[in-house]
Amino acid sequence: MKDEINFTKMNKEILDTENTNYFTKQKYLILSELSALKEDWKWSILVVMIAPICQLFFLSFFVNRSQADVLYYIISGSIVTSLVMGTMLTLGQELGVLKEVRGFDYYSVLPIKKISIIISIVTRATLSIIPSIIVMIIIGIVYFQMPFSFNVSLILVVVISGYSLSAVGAFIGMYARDSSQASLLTQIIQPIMIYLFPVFYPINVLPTFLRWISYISPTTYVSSALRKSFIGEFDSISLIILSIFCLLSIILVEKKFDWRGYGE
Amino acid sequence: MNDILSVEAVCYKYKNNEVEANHNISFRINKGEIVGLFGPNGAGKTTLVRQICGTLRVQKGIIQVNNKNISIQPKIISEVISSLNQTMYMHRFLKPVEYITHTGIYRGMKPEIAKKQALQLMEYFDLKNISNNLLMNLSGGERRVVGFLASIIGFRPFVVLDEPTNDIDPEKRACIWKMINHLKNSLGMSFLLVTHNITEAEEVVDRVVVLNHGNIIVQGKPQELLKTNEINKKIVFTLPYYENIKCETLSNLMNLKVKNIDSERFYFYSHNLNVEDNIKLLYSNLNGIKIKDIQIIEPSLQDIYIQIMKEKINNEG
Repeated sequence: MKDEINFTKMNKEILDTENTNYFTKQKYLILSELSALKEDWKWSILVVMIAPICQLFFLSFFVNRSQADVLYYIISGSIVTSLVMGTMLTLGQELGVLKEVRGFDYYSVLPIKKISIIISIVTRATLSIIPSIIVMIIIGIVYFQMPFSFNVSLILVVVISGYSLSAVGAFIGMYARDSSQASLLTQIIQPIMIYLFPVFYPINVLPTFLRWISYISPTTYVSSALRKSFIGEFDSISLIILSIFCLLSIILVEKKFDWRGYGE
Repeated sequence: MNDILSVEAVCYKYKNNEVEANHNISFRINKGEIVGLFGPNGAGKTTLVRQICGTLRVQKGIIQVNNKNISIQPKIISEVISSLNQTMYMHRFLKPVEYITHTGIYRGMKPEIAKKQALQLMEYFDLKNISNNLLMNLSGGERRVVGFLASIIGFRPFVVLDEPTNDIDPEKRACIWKMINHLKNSLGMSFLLVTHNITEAEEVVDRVVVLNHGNIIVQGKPQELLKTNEINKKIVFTLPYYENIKCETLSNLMNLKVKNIDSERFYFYSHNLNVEDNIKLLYSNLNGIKIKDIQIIEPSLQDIYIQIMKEKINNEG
């Protein structure tokens, strides 16, 4: 062992400096999450890429590929699948794992906000989806000859979508007992949000009651905003609604997510 | 009030359990005090720790940290307490220095200071050789040391350590006890130590609280417990090897259970008040056999703990 440590001097160093702010803590929480992506990036990307790409090719056999509108629906729909799998499901399962391994025992004695943990997980998840989105757009343009005009709103849609879907993921994580129950819940919610709401088809083909329900699903607006961005348009209404979903996620997590008593 | 922690009539019952995990627990920890929380597996120690750290609700009773009720002002927990949990959650892909640094930053330290101090703490434990390994590739003991250092960084006034020395080699265990003592003396930090390693904890604890089946069965300073619980002393004596005396012979002569350590050294336990009489009896019964050496060994904290638990089991029938 080394020489004695001067704890008094070390403590003075801490007391003499101001506390770090919220954003610095958030940055390091994200860096901690990204460490997993750094080491395991191939698998993280593959997991959210394979299913949507297979789905994209599968659907392309049943549709008229010469119609641009149809291509927009199947490509945006596949990207939404990737986003739902990558963010919402990842968040739900991660929170389930944290419950299972008593990870909140570590966080509960630290002066950090619950939403900061959610943001760090969603940021990692969103970053792991980006390659999949790029690949799907390239497949759309090169293979299916989808007319495409790049718009900055595409980046905005991808970023906001991840966080807006986190409310559902947080809800799953909050009520699931552990990671396996979170996984079951996500497998129930995922097909509803992707296949029962207007993601792969226009809203007017839905029965009236589903049409109304679909208005409260973020996937409806993510899909719409993505399609508009492919043709170079900015779907401000969808982006505003998605931002409201983000805000709701923050309120839900801060007010309802009680890590005290999660093990009861 | 000089309490850093006050636990008053605290109970806890898990959802599907009929029996309370903790029942009417009350004790206090003064500022700058180290309290050992001992008890067999399933005694309710970790449940109590999780209540203090805010991950389990205080269903009945009051827990106050720095005179503030944690159920009303939960923020006080992160301002005053740091902890090392039994399960030790860590981001597996971080390096030890990153994990300790990040924990310091979450406690409000500036990144550069947190990193500098994380390295200083690691150096104290000679952890340079593992500094570039990922946490997932460390041994259980190494991870435990890293977890301990993460619980220390930022120097919160009150540290809760649940099994801090599990799986750790003797040299580093000694270093942990030394560091705890040093932190108490230099910064006046308080500790709640949950451990089964009572022999080593004895070096640092000021007071002990013993839990069994969710109830406090005894609490106090080790010296007080020694007095009130009439703990037996151990008498060790050495006889010449050529005498070739058996334990059974000695037991019959002394009318006490005598055991041997090796072919020369024997021991028996004597009640505190009868030590002198028993030694006289030993000399007189040995019929001229010369005793080479005799030692009276004071009971350790572990002896006290074992005796208390034995009495408890006997009383429960």
